[in-house]
Amino acid sequence: MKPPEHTATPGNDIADPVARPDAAAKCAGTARYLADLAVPGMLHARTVRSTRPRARITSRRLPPLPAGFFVVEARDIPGRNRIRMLDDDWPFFAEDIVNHIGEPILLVVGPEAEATAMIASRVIIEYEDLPPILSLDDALAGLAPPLYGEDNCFAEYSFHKGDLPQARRAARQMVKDGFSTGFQEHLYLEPQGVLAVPEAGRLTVYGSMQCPYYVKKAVEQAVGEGRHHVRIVQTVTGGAFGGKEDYPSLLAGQAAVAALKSGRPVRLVLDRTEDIAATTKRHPSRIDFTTFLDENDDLLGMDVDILLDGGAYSGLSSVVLQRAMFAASGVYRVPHLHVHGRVLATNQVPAGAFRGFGAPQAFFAIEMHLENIALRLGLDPLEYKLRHALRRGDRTCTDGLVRGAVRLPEMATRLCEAAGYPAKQAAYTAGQGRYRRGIGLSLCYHGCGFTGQGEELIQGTIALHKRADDAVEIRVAATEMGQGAQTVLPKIVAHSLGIPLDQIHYENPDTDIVPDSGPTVASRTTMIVGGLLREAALDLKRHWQSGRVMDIRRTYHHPPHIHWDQEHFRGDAYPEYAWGVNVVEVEVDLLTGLVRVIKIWAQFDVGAPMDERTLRGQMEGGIAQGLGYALWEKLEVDDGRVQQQRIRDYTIPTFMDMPPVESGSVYNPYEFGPFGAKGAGELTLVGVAPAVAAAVQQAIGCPVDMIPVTPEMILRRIRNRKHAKPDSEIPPESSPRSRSRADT
Amino acid sequence: MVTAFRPVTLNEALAIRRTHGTVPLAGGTDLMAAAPSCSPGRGESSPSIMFIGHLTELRQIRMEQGEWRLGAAVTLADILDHARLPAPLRQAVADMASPAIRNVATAGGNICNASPCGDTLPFLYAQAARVLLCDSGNRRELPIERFIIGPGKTALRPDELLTEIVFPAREFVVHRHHKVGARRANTLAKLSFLGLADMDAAGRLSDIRLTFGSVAPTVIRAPQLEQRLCGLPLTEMKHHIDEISAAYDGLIQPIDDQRSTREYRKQVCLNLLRWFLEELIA
Repeated sequence: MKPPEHTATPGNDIADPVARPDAAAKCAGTARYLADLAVPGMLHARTVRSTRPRARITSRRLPPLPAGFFVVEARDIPGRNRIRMLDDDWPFFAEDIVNHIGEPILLVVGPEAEATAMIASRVIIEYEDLPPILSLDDALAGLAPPLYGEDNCFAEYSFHKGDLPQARRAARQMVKDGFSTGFQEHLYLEPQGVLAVPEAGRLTVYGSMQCPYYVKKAVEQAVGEGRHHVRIVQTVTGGAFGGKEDYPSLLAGQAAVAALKSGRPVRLVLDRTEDIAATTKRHPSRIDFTTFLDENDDLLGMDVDILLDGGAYSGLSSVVLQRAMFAASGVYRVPHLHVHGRVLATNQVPAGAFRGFGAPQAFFAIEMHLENIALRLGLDPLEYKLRHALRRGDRTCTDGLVRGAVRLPEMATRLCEAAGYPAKQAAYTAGQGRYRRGIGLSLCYHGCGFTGQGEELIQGTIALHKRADDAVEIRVAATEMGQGAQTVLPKIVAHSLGIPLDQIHYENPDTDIVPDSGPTVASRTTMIVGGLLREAALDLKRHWQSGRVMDIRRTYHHPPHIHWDQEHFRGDAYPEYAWGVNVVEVEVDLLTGLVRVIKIWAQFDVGAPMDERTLRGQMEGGIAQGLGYALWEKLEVDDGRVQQQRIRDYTIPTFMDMPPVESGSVYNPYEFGPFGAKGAGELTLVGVAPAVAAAVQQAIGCPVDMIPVTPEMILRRIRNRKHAKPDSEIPPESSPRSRSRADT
Repeated sequence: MVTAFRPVTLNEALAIRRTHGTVPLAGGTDLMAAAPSCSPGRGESSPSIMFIGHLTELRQIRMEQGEWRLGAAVTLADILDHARLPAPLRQAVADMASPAIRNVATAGGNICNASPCGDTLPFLYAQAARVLLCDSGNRRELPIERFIIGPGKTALRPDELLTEIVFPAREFVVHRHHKVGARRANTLAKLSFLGLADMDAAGRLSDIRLTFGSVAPTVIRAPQLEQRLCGLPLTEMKHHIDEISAAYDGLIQPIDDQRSTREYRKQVCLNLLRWFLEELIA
């Protein structure tokens, strides 16, 4: 299928692909990543980590330290031993208590990397174990003392729409369903790393990161506010996916303190095992629905309960929960709604930001739930879903207004035609033999920009600097991390100014030069930062004086019609929404439980693509990561320890696993986005898992209520069905869930 | 610091082996992954190594007197490129790792690593392969199942090198190889199954070999069970499937680990066995 009509807009050639400015060096191997950087006099740091999920440190015994080697620990921190985040509960270094395996206790720093590692391996930490909370079940049981506050809950919210008790009374049918999702590891190709360089009165931290100003604030808090001029410079970043939103703040603070203590540059680079075992993951979830249908089988009311596993520290969990809650009723009109959500603390690796930020969990659950309702009613899932899908002028779950056109019906219809969905849906239910096929469908959206009040709090600011030679520098804190920011943002500026692309310069951000345009997260870079750049560029064009140096700044404010009440979660949770439809066909080998993905069809409404090839990269990359989340990326934490600690055991898909992907976009411009653009980075992952799970569920004829859908789980379900009564096959039927294992 | 030797001939390699012990490194794909870490400065002191992957004496693929003789440093890519080698071996190799790793990983390495999930091992057990072991003065041959003692353990002596792998150039009419891993490439087997069978003109099973990988410390093959099937008319076979399946159920004793579960491994082995036998009948 060809991507439809966005080229139909008069004069809009911004979507035509251009060469990525970062591609040549990355392909040739000449790009210099953090681990490639070395400066004279540089020291190497190695982390000594907790081996206990929850314990009191009773002693730290260091081996003899050769001259030039030293350790850095909590008491060396001149400022506050807390990472600056939403809620400052997370220490740079453990003090007397450790709360998860892998938590940093101290750094060994010295002139030789190998010797540093050797010394670190000989540091002996003695512990007195405390009763740990090793799973959501433990947290719910509440037997161990709380890890956070009095209720062990990092965040708890609820919101209402309509009158759910009334819907309950009026309902003809009630459907209950429950789902769970596992951890997911980012597995960016470049592990995390930073390099802190002290100079007189000034401290520069280089690093692989998404959010230079988050890092700046964290480092300032570590070294003491106002005592040093802190400068952060992003280095070439080999993938991030949200994993370099939060954790670089911790590493930068540690390296900065080590650099100040020694007066020498200090480099801290994680190896892969450390990175998998100790850095943040996607939150595991459990989501339960009680849904009420009216006399026409339509959705009348829905009660949703969301539980997230936040791990040991709160980090960004409260906002992840909010995004999950605002996606709880999916793309559907639900007149009466109650959504309740909690993030609980456990003695496991902290959960944090990950592409989709709570939405993938919620969309897996709501899409499977609607699928199950339709099947239970004997209706076609596509038809049932479209019947309830939001339309322009409808109210969102938080009573915000759907202002833009919603093109889901045509996207879904076109896609289902291309995939042969209706015929396959009917035929595959009665599959025979060893290999069984299934086809699944999902509808999703992704709120573009920060959740709730975020954009108003951050007030992202950008600058354009026109040099005397009439070249224009983009000054933003947005980072290139592989997603294509350095391709897309210069195109927006060049097209706005009407000057050639090679006249636009956009370097990796340096906080001494760029204003705080906000973090590179939340599918906000193109829409929010790009939107500001377009406004600034148009302004610059109006006042353009050749040969003169000119500077322009712009600060973001929501369009005036956007209203949000953070206290009651009421109004427009996002300024705009991007939409997606996925259809997935699979074949399951009943002898082995192995799932082969035959093909994926996907359609996205990202407003307008800013670069066709970059968008294709996002589509195929998001789909690959979504497939991994759905099928292969099993990460188990047993007794607080991550089991898959090596890249060979954590199975992201290879090219051999990737099916053909037929993807495209529809043109549906957003008035306040640059050239009509909305967000694209996260949307492409969000809807994959439920389409895969629905397809597998059809193929095996047993409920799939958890991801990843491993072969182990598939065979267990099939075997259990053989021993069960035939009518218990029909979903919804929640299965017993235990611990945080994904394949129980 | 690591001391490295790079002999020019096999004899020189054997002499170094006698005087220095040292770890032979052919492709290095298992040894590198087993090193404490690839990142700089995760220092354990390393023993010396000796490169042998380039030795021409170890890189030959020959057929002699009805037997294939593979040099220990023949790469997996060499095996794939050699169209006359048995199909089940080439299929097992095609399912291994990725092209880049197959370009350097070797036939001898896959044996000497003695991993329960070594992908060429089920074929070599099924074919009753032998390995040729040389030191600077002597040579001896061992059947594969006596060479591999347990996970990571072989009968290789400190002064020996495995130089050749020998197996009959015998093709089977029916061959089915299944590697079951977490994904389709670059993955270690959760389990694997290889079935080989021949029929005679009278429709009787004349030869059958059944091997299972990754489900015990070493590859499982039970010739006495295979013998019970040999000579059976295929029409009779269906009466024996339950009994054979139950016998293998007792032999297959896999473990739970970070890659899969005991329960899954066992069930899939038995599923694949049963499927193979049922397919023979059909």
